Amino acid sequence: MNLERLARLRQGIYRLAAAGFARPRSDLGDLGVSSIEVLVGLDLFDYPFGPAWEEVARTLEAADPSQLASAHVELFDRGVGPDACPPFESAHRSEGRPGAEAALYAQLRRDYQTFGLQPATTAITPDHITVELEAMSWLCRIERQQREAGRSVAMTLARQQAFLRDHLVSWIPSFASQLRRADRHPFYSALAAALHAFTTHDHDLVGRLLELEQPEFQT
Amino acid sequence: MRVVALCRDHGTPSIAGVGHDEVVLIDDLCVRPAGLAALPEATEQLVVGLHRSEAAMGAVQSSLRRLGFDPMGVGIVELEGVGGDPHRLTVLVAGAAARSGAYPGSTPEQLKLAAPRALSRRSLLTLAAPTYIGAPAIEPLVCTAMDGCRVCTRACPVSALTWNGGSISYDKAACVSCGICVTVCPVGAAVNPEATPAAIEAEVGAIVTAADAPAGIRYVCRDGTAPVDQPGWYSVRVPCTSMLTVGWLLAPLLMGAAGVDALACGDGGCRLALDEHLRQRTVGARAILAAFGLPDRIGHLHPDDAFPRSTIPGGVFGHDGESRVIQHLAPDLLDGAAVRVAGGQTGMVRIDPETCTACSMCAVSCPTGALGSTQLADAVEISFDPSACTACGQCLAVCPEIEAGAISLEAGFDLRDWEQGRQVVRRATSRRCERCGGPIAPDPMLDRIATLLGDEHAGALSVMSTICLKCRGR
Repeated sequence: MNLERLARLRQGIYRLAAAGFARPRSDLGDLGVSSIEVLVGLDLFDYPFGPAWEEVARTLEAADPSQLASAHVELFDRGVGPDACPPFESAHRSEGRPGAEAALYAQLRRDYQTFGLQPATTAITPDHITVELEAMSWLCRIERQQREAGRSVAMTLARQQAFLRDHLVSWIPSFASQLRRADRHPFYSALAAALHAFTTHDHDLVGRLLELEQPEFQT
Repeated sequence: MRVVALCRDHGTPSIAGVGHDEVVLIDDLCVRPAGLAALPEATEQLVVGLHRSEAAMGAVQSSLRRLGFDPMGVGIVELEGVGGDPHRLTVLVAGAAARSGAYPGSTPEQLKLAAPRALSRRSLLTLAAPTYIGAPAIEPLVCTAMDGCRVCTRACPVSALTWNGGSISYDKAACVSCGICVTVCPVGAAVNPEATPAAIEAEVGAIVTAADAPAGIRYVCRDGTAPVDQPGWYSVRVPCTSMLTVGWLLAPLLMGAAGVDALACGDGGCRLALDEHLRQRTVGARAILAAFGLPDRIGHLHPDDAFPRSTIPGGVFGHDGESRVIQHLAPDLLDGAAVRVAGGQTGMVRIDPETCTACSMCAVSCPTGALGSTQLADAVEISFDPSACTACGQCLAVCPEIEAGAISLEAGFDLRDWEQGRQVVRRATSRRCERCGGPIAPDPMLDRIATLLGDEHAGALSVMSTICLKCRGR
């Protein structure tokens, strides 16, 4: 297991997951056949989340773009209804506390700024799942570049650990469970299970990698 | 179809399998687990026989996933323990298959990266594939932490479990997956898919049934080396022998085993320094055997003299297993005195009426309901059912008068108390609200508060003692 390759693999999976929750285009865009080939080629079976991503590839290959688009609207855009699964961290964590949403947005914006990121659009909130997943992909990319350059990755790993712990892992299990219960389209059900398995595993993995680098950087 | 895939090397004996098994021999399976691709397509359940000392378990797990199997649900037979004996192999296959059949599945939270013995960059760089072990998860609908139970947090040797104001928080990075939380939980809320009580019971039962002579069951730590060439003994892997309870030591004997033993992982004892757990429970198990006039088969094998086999409804590997054993054996108790069981999961609670204020905190937090509290018209009664007590000690932890000796707990049982069932152990009159007539608090509790507050707060206490909280707010 090469650590640069591992960082590249994680970067790719986060990017793919973000694309999976974005509004699907008629030609499936980023989520097209090439992505399926990437998933299949990554040989993820060394990891417990591997079979779940194989299922994602299988359901994507069989997906009808118009049905996928319709399911996307029902699940993520409508906001109400029995199948609604809001893809925002604030919808799963703030529990209606006044000011919690604004505080979360502010915290996320600070985090993104620290990572060197600026949101490409204000059309979606900083706690949207695609934004958070893209941010993790970016951090994995930085880690990969640092490893390739022979530089310390301790700070980057610490940021990954904190972001996973404070954000993704805190709400993805609940979101994934809701999405699976909705069972609106097999692709989104598979993507939910795969993302849950992957982020849970990644949280553990980053902790182990950080132990290797510098114990004092553990947060 | 159930398939048994065996590594052909090192003189693996040929067997016919059990029942409708298909047995497949694969060259170099231990070092090249990709050879599992040769399995028949209709394989629904799989048992794999490997030489554990050679196999890279990460690669084995990876190959199993590729074939659509959950690695933790695949039965593993360690061929080192077979010694070329086909009958022995058949028995071990039966045990592994039974354990695999009882596998409950797992969530992503219940899997954990297994740390190499020496965690280093080199070890991570050179591992072909990582290995995963089971990790515990707390079932929130079963857990009684909301009522104050913190038994698992006290028992965890690495403080991976903490009580978080009504729920249990779990630090997976700190956890060593020893399994203690699984067996110490008084309500069975902690679940580690790698070693559930049901799966262990299934494996032990299958081994004892399949063996053609009374067999000994030896529990072996996940990281330990199972002894070879020990005729009559069959190894059952557990995360750590520190998780064994008195019930788990007795259970194989009651299922017909000729002996039971446990082997920790390190040459110098338990790698986690938890030897005392097993030692204490061994003493406890021997105390129960002696109390019922049963032969001591712990650490000893008597293949010519089978232990009396018993069928105990509900099994004995669950959280109330020890209680079930005692109830089943009750008619054979040699004398009526109380039996002390070191490390046991049955308990004798005593309440001192002089110092107990009848606050009922013990009853509120008792996870099994062994201690109960009933509010009567003008009194409160605390009752105790000894057969439901698992000696978890939660009552001691929450008692505000523990230093005065208001409540005490001793691990063990007194069948004379069991026969009486639930008994009132403390009764105290209650003060009633002057306005609504509802209960305020037991008199001893109010007296105790008066003592603590002193005379300067007598006026406030007088109000609190005569008007309930609800009426004071109006």
